[in-house]
Amino acid sequence: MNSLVKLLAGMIGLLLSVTSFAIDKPFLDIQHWQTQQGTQVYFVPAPEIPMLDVLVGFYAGSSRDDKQLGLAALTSKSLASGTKQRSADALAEQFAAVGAQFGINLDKDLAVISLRSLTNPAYLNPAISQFIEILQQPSFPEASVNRERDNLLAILKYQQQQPNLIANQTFDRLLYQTHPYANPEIGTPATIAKLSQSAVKAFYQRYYVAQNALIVMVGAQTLEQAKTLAEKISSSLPTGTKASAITTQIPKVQAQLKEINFPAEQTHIVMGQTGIAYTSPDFLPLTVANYILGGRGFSSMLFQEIRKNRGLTYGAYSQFSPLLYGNSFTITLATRNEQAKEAITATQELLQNYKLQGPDTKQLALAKQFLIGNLPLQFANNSAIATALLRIAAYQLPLNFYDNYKMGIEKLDLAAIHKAWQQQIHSDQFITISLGNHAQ
Amino acid sequence: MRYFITIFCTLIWLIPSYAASSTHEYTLKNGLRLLVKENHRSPIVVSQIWYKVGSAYEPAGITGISHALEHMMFKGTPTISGDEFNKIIAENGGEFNATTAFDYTYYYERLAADKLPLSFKLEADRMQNLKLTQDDFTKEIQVVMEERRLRLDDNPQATTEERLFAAAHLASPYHHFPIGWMSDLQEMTVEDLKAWYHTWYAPNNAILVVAGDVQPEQVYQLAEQYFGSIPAKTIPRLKKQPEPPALGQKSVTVKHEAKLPFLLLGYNVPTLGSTTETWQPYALTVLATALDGGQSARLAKNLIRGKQLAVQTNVEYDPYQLFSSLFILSATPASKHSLKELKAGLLAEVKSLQSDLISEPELARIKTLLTANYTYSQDDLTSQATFLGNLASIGLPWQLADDYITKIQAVTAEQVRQVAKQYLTPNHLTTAQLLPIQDKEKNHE
Repeated sequence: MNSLVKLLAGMIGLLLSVTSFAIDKPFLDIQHWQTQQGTQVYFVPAPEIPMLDVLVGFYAGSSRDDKQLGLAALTSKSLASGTKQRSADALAEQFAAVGAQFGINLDKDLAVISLRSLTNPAYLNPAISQFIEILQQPSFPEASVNRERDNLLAILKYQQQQPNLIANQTFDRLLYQTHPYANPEIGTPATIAKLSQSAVKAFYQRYYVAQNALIVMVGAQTLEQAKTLAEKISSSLPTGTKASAITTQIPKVQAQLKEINFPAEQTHIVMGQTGIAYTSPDFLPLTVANYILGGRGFSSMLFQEIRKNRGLTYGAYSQFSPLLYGNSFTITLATRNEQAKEAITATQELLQNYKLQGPDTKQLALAKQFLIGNLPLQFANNSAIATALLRIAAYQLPLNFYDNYKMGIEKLDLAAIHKAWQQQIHSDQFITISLGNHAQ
Repeated sequence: MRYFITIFCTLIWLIPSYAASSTHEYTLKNGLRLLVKENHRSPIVVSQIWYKVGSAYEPAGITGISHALEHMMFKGTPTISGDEFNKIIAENGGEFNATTAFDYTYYYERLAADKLPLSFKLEADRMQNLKLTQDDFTKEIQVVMEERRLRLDDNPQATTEERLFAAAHLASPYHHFPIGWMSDLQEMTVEDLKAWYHTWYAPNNAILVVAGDVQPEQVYQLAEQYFGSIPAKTIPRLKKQPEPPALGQKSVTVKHEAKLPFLLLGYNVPTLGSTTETWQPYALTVLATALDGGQSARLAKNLIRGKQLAVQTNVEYDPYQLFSSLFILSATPASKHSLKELKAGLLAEVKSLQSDLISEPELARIKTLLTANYTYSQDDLTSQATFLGNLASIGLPWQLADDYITKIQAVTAEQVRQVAKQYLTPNHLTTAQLLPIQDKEKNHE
């Protein structure tokens, strides 16, 4: 965090003299404050359409499961299954009656409870008051918790018939080892079966608290209205304390090839290593380097070589996945079983050349033009803005993150990018997962 | 992580959208239609070109050809190579891709609003000058087959839905999915693609849709400049291919190395493209929402929470299609229940909608939900443009986008019961079930 602020502050200093940047409007007009209870709030007004998105994130993702794998998932899933006043049926009917959409999302770091509502007070007020009721007084009826637990087991089975998911989960397990990020996000059959109603209640009481919450709002509200709303949500929660930092060290990774048999036409390949944090000084150089190698788009080296020149795959991509307490870098592709070895070899060759030679001038120019020119397209609707805000909030990034991103990328040169890549990415040390029918 | 298990669908149940009276329509002399939707929220533009050709236009033996051609449309022309195309969009910060469905194929670019001419230049060029070489085709058809393995063959639920469509449609071209059968992909030649391209890609078989921070009159001038000189062609008429009368219910079983059983009930029903009783598709939309409009809807309430027969349920119905199509109920059984019990539970919900009128509060809730969703969809330029393009590509007036709320509000409880009674009958039903098996069992068969 601090290193990024310093790094970016340095860049701003350097660039202040460049008029075109200095007078640019910020990409996002973010209002940020803290409620009396200590909840961080991020708001972007969007007056055009009479609607509002409210996202309440808690540091209560699957990395908080401890030994009870699946507990974070079961808690978030059971949240709307009844309050002290209303049943699950009544809650669902009331949201529908005012046209509101209620949602739950969970990843390794966060549980995010969301509401999308019309801003006409006749709809918004009942939607918000019920949203708060769910956050504040969930009753977790035992029968509902049991049913959600059975559903988790079904979701687990569903995941087990998706080869790309299994390959990715296996990669996380081998990369993170003893760190909580190694665990599957919804648990295992054995751990899910043991989860109890009282464990759910205890998890809720520990983590669904004001100090451990973030509020993100995008929509047709004034700053004053947004402040009132945030205060209302935050003050309905017990103050509590923020979840403590996860200090488990990620053990050093051994280079390895893991072949897993799976009955399918295609082999799914995940290869990679530890990644970098948003706050790393290498974040921007590697963002550019990754776009050139395998970012979304038809121009990337992976797409050109593995799909266009060799016809091996429908998609071949590379990505950095930064989390709060650990990060990964992965390359993913799928190809018919008998070509799996060729695809891995071709990807490795490409990586070795890239490490040796780095990107060329043309690739760098194109990457800069795309990454900067594409920014306005990323904030063209409320959902996209809310997603960006949630990232800034959860990872405590500076409010002008995207402005700094633009300026930082503009400044990068070939040497800086090549050096960062050589220092961080070691393809000879990769973990490689190859999941498919190896008999073919 | 997603909590809701979703099945692969080529039919996206569109939540429509518009901002009233901001759509402008033009037609060029060569027959190219242009729809422009002004929206000045962000300085960006979505530009889409829709061709009236998709998998429903494909005769047996060349299934998947519209989609294969869509892939080849990125291989370049004599003046702009495929790589150059990618570069031009990328260096301008833009995004592009394409979709092939039953009834249409469309290509899009998302760009800063002042870059719109780039999109027109590239699309006008590849509308008439596409380079289709043997070498490019040989590699790209392999990519298409990988796409099929990824989306269909290795996806048990998608495979089951593909077999449902094949079993439910005897004469209708919705018999096959846009991806095409693997055997047809293996037989396909670059000559087939050339013929397909020259038959269907013409200005008078296309609709240009532009949404965003633009002035309609200027967009029209630009369209004239780039597309105006492309000659029109004689386009074959797509025959109607109606389904023969159903003589009883059908069923299909898929055995696959899956972990979970899965059930699909597909009823043949009318769409706005197939019926003159235009109220019916709206009544079917309300019916679909009664069953599956979120957590308060009947399937979630009665089958997931109430009887606990299912862990997941879904209803798909797309009223905006050329031909009559499927109204699909799908579900995954809870571990203690069989597919048979699940089917009985789903049929009981259907029966209740046939015998009892839905209550006024329930109807009001459904209409509020659909109206709110309509407002929410205005948040996204792409969904607005896609709605207009979808309507135009199947020969329906784009004004239906503006009429959506009025039509939904006009649906009565009696009409909902009537379409349930008329169409959700055993004769219209095809059942598809997915039975998980072990790998070795399959090999022994």
